[in-house]
Amino acid sequence: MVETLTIVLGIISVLLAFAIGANDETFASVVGVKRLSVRTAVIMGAVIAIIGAFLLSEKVGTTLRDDISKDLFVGADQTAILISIYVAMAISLILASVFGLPISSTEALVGAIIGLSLAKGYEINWGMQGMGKILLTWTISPIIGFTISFLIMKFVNRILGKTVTSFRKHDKANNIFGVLLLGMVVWTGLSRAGNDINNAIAPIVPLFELSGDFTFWTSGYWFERLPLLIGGIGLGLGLIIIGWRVLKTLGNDVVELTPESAFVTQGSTALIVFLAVIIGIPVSGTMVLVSAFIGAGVGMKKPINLKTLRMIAIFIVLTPVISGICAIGCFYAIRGFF
Amino acid sequence: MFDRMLGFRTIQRQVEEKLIQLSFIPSKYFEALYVESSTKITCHTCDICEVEEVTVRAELLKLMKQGEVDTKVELEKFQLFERINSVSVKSKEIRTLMNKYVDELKKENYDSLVKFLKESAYAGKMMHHSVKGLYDSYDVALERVEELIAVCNKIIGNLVSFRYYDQDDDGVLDYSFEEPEVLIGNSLRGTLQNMIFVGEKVAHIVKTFSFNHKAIEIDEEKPQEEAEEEITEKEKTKTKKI
Repeated sequence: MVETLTIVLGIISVLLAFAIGANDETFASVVGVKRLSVRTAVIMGAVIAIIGAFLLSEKVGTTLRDDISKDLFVGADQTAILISIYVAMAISLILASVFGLPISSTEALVGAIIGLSLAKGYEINWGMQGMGKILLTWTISPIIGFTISFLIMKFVNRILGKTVTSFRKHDKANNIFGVLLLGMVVWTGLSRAGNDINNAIAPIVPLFELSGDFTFWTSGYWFERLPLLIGGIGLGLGLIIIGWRVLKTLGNDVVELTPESAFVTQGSTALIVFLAVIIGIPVSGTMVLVSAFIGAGVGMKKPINLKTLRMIAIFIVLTPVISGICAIGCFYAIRGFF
Repeated sequence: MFDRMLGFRTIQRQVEEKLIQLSFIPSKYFEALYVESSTKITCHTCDICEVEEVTVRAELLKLMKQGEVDTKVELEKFQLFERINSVSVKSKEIRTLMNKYVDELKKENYDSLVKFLKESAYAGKMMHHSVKGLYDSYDVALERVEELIAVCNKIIGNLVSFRYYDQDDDGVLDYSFEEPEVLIGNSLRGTLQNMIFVGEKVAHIVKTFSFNHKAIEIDEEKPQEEAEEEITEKEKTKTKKI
C-alpha cells in the first residue's frame, strides 16, 4: 500500500507541476511584442522553469490551508483530502490552460479547500485571518495592478514623447525596452518557478529526505533536491505542451503590446509583488499581471479586446467553483482506497 | 534567436539605409528622364537608376526577410518599401511610353510633358526627404509630406490637359485611351499618386509610432489598394463606354 501511495503521490506531484507550468503566463509579454515566437518562448520558459525550480527553490513553503479551515487537515482521510486538493488544482489549471486563459493557482487551491470543507461540514474561517484576507487579495490585486501599470505607462509615454522624436530613435528605444523586458521576464520566470514548485512537490519531498546535514558539494544535497528537478521538468513540459495557449491569449489577444508597454506591464507587476511582500499585503501575481496588461493598454489608448477579457473574468470567477466540485468528486471517489 | 531578441539592430540600420536610398532613386530617375526628353539624347543615368533600383530592392528584400516581418514596426516598414517600390515601377513605364510614342506627340504637348517631368523630379525629391525625415525627425517628415502632397496635387491638376476627348459611334464625348499623351499622362498621374501614397504612409507611421503626433490628420480614408481599385474601376467603365 505504501508503494502504491508513493507512486500516486509522485504522479500527482508531476501532474500539478505540469498544470502550474501550463498556466504560466510569465512569457506572455515577450510573445506579445514578438521578441520571441511562441515556440521559442515555451522552450526558453521550460528551461528557465527547470533551472529556477532546481536551483532557486529553498524549502517547501507554507500554504493557506490552515487559514481557511482548521478542521479539514486534522481529521480522518488526510491522504484522500490532500490528493483531492492536488487533483482538483491540476484539473482547474489544465482546463483553463486548454482554453488559453490565465488563472491564479491560489484560487484553485482555495476553491478545493472550501469545497471539501463544505462537503465534510467543517467551518470555514470567513474572518480577516482566513477567507476575508484572501477575498481582499482578489479584490485589491486587479485594482492595484491596473492603477500602477496605467500610471507608469502615462509617465513612460511622457518621457518617450520628449525623447523619441524620430523613427530611428523609436527603433533604438524598442531595442532597449526589448532587452530590458527579456531580462525582466527571465528573472521573473526563474523566481516564479522557484516559488511555484513548492506547492507541487510537497507530497514527494519526504520520499527524498535523508538524515543529516549535507553541504553543497555532497551527493546527499543534490539527492534531496531531486524532487525540485522532477517538478521543474513537470513545469517545463506543461509550458511546452499546453502553456503556449495561455501565452498566445495574453500576449496577443487582450491588448496590442509594444516593447515599452510590455516592459511597463512586466515591470509594474514585479514592482507590485515586490512591494506587497515588503509591506505585507497579499496579492495574486496572475491577477496583477492580467490587470497590468489592461492598465498599460488603457494608458496607451489602445483598444482592449473585451471578448477575451470577459472570458478571463468568467474563468477567474468559475475557477474556485470548478476546483471545489472536482475536489469533492475526487474525494468521494478515492477515499475508500486510502 | 538572439538576433530576434536583441531586435536586429544591425539589420534595422541597414534597412533604414536602403529605404532612404531606394526613396532617392525616383527623383534621380525623373531628373535623368527630364534631361533625356529635353535633349532627346539617351541618358544613361536612367539605365543606371533602373539597375540600381533593382539591386537596392533585392538587397532590401533580403534584409527584411532576415528581419522576419512580423512586428508592427517591421510591417509598416515593409508597406513603406512596397509603396516606394510602386513609384519606381510606375516611373519606368513613363520612359518606355515616351520612347515608344516620342514621334507621335505634338510639340506643345511634348514640351509641357518635359516640364511635368522636371516638376515630378522635385516631387520625387520631396518624397525622399519625407522618408529621410521619418528617420531624422517626425516634424520634418510631416512638413515634407505636406509639401509632397501639395506638389503632386498641383502636377496632377495640370495634367488635365492630357485627357483627350474622343467621339464614339453614338456621338458621346469621352476620354480616349489610345492617344499617346493620355497613356503617358496616366502613367505620370499614377506615379505621382503613388508618391502621395508614400507620403501618406510616412504620415501614418508618424501618427502610429510618435508619442506627440497622435492627433495629426492624414487622409487615410482611402488606402492605396482601395484608391487603386477605384481608378481601375473607373478606367474599366470608361473603356466599356468607348
